[in-house]
Amino acid sequence: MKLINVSENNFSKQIKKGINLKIGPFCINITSSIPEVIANIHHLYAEHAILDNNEFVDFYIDINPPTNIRRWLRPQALFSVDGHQPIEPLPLEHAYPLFEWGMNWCIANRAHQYLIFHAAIIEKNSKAILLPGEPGAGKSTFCTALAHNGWSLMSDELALLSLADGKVHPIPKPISLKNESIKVIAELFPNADFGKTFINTSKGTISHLKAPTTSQNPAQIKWIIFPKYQAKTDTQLINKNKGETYALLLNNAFNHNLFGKTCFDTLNQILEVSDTFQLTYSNTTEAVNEINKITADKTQS
Amino acid sequence: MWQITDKDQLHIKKWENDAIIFLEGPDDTHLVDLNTASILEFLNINPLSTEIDITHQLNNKYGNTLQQNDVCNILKTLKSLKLVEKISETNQC
Repeated sequence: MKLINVSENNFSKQIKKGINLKIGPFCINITSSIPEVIANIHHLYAEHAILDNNEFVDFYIDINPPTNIRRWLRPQALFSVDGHQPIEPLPLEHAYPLFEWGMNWCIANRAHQYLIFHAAIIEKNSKAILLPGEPGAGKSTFCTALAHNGWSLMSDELALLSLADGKVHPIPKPISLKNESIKVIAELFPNADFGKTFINTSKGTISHLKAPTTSQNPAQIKWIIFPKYQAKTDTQLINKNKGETYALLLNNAFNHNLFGKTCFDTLNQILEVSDTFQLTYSNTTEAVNEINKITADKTQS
Repeated sequence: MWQITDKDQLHIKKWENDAIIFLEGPDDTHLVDLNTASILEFLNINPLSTEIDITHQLNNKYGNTLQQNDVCNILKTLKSLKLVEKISETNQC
């Protein structure tokens, strides 16, 4: 059953005891009594499946106020996974961003069945574009724009590459947009489905967005594009050398040291069949058109 | 004379304009230029070569205009990365 088929009231009762949600390849058990967390999950994860209680759980996540005085005095939210607190508590009003960051922490640090990149990833007809980038490079904004232009979201933050099949596996969580990019996307796509906006977080203002189409199946990487937003520049798409791309991919990987030669072989195989570019842009629509142009041949169904 | 430090652990992938060297064990990865990759490839097949041999053979093979001094500098860099080692002093590097 999908979450959308459960009323917020019923969901609220269930999540207080713990509920299993399918998020990408993972079964995540979430427990929370914080109204904003409950409302945002109910809204932004509406298309995700609720799994049975007897399902194997990958992560037990708890996001709740502490039981000490900080429940009342400058109230906080605590994130814990399997009984451990890997992240510092945050003010209660930032509980939902803490939930998202905490879940990313769990996946990046524990899902070692995958080679994990800090990258956005989108696909069309099972052909994927990997968009690696440092924070602030504009990868979430750009992948949001593509997700509103015929591409399906696989992830805006973590690309999960299976070394068993050489494919990326989707983990379509809400897209985290920050600061100016919230306004940019709201103007470009007036129907964009945003959650609540959180101000004064450690990353500035944050709002999460539900992608219009999310991917359900693994895809083959065919393009690796490093996006960089740069104000007042023309759109520039320049070929990037493959060796340099390999090195940059490793810089954006969380756990490549675990895989040794298998990682070397798999990345080389991906680079053999991928086109690699540096994209500099200031006009999002123009950049999307450019990407649609270079990918058109390979994405025909 | 020069040789690769750990021949069985060294993997080279050459691309059109650059190359990746991967050393298993320490899991070191290096982005290098094509001349460097060619020298490693040559030493992989011809261990205990001198820089004179390397320069001559690579220029024959690729029509390069590699100078012996260039090869020396590359070998010194590779030595500092512990990818090659100098076996004897019968050379000018």
